[in-house]
Amino acid sequence: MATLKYLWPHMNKWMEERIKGILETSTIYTVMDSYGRIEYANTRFCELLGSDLGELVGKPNHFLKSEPQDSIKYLKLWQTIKQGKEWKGILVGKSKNENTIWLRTKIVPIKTHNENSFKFLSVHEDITNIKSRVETIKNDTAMYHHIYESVKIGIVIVTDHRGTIIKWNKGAERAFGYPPFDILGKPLSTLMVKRYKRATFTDFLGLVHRLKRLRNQEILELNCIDNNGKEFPVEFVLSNWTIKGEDFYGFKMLDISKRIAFENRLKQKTKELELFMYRSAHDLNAPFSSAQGLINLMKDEKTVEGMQVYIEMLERTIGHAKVLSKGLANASLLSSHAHDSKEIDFAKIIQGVLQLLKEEENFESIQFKIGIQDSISFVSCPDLISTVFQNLIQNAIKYVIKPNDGHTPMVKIEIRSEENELLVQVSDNGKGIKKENMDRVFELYYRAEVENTPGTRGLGLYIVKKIVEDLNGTIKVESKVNKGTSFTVRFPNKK
Amino acid sequence: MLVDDNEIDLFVNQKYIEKIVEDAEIITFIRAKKAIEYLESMGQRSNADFKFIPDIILLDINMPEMNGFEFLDEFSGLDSEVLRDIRIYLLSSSTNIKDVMDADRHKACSGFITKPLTGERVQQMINDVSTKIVQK
Repeated sequence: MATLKYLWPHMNKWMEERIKGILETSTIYTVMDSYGRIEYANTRFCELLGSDLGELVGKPNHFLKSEPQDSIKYLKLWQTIKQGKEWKGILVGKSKNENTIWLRTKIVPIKTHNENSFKFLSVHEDITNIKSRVETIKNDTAMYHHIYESVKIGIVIVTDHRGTIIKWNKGAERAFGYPPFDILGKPLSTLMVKRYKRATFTDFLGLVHRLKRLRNQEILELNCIDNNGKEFPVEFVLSNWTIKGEDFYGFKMLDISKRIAFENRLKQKTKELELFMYRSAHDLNAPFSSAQGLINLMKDEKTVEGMQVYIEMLERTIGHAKVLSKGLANASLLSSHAHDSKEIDFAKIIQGVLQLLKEEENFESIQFKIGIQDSISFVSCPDLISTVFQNLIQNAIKYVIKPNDGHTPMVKIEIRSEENELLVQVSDNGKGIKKENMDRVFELYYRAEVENTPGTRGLGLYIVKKIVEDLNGTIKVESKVNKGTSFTVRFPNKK
Repeated sequence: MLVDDNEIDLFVNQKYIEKIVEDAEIITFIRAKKAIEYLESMGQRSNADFKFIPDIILLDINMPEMNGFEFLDEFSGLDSEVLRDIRIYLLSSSTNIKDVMDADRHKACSGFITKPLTGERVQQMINDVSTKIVQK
């Protein structure tokens, strides 16, 4: 063992053998000259690299060679050991068959006794296994981070044990509209609606308290508030974990405002339908009951004149029933799905409607003024548009003020295009609607007054409103008692 | 008193009552609101004035402006001695269980009759009223 003798010339044989034994079996080491060329490498170093000692001696120790990405580190290493100081750190290199090897290294410069330069003893510990595990974790972490960052549909918010937001993802940024530097470090309650009617949780503590009593991953609901003060409901699961004795809370949320809105609309529609069914069933039943009563009386009637009266009444009753069932048929138009869309010919539709209404009382005395703007292009379902006109015009006729000296009943129908809308106006100079009844005119089966003539029995304007809403339009009514009423319908005009 | 927005039903009901009680005094309204106004004015009159206070009111449920139940509420609010003995029956072609239950629950309502009215039903009502008067 020439090298050791060379380093420690006064060492006796026994010591030399002993040290050699320890170094050979329990360490990995090399001895290098002042230029870093290998003078000796022990067996374990050779085994690690898969090389023979003969192949290594005289060559530079490539572990100490500068890696391009880390040149400063290697520069410092050499500066340190050339000054005769110890260097400690991690070095990376490759074995003969190109496997990466990580070595925790201590380099000890040793002053030679006859020269003014150093030799270097470098003792290594193979940490390749640990390093590769750390690398795997690093890669996984990067991957998970990427996944978490890129999830845009879900909202992920992480808080510490006090409820301070320490992390959130792109989805959260989008949903709440805060830039990250504005929200990180703020309490979670910044995002929660303070006074929520289903006030299960109004603050972070409430949530954490609830979490303790929860079964795993139970889905909860919460109302959130964004940077602009807009509230929206979310569904979320809450989880917590502990790292190094510190508690963290993770909120995984989904904005459910669309679903809630849809549910509410469905509920509303169902309620309307139930009311419609109930009222229709009753109203259909009523004329039958009247007819039955009349027929019972007719059975006992002896005189022809009496009989005549009953027959006339029976006719009127049947008339009522017919109007009603027609109204119901119109209403069913609303729910049938297949509506063919066509270019609407308003003049034709209005002529058709007026033809249909010719038998109505007072029709002859009314002056109709029809104004249709030229070059109107509007595509919709002719059946539905026709129903809208029929009910609006019928309504105008029904509340007409009978003609007298200073008064000519008038119904004005106007259709024109306004920006992206189609505007339909049906106005009359009839009886008008009392202010207190204005809100109710579109209600199902609402009748403002007792009529002597059978009308549509409160179905007409309800149907109009439903159709207009289905076509994404709006309807507005203005009225003055004894001055007249004006209905304005606006449809979006899809180009 | 008969309150119904359908004139034909008013006529038919009136005929049935007249069949059972020939000298029945009947007053009819097609608007519930007018009927309430009438009762209110009757309740305010002094004894010396002309008075027609009905023993029985037959009241339709589905009417515009003021329906049968709204009528009952208004009626309950009238504070007058002379109106206290009036028996009100709801008369409707509705067989909806909810209407029947609401009628049953309303303290101003004495019963629920399904249209059309029949002779037997009129007789029964009159019996009920007579028993009550005798009991007094």
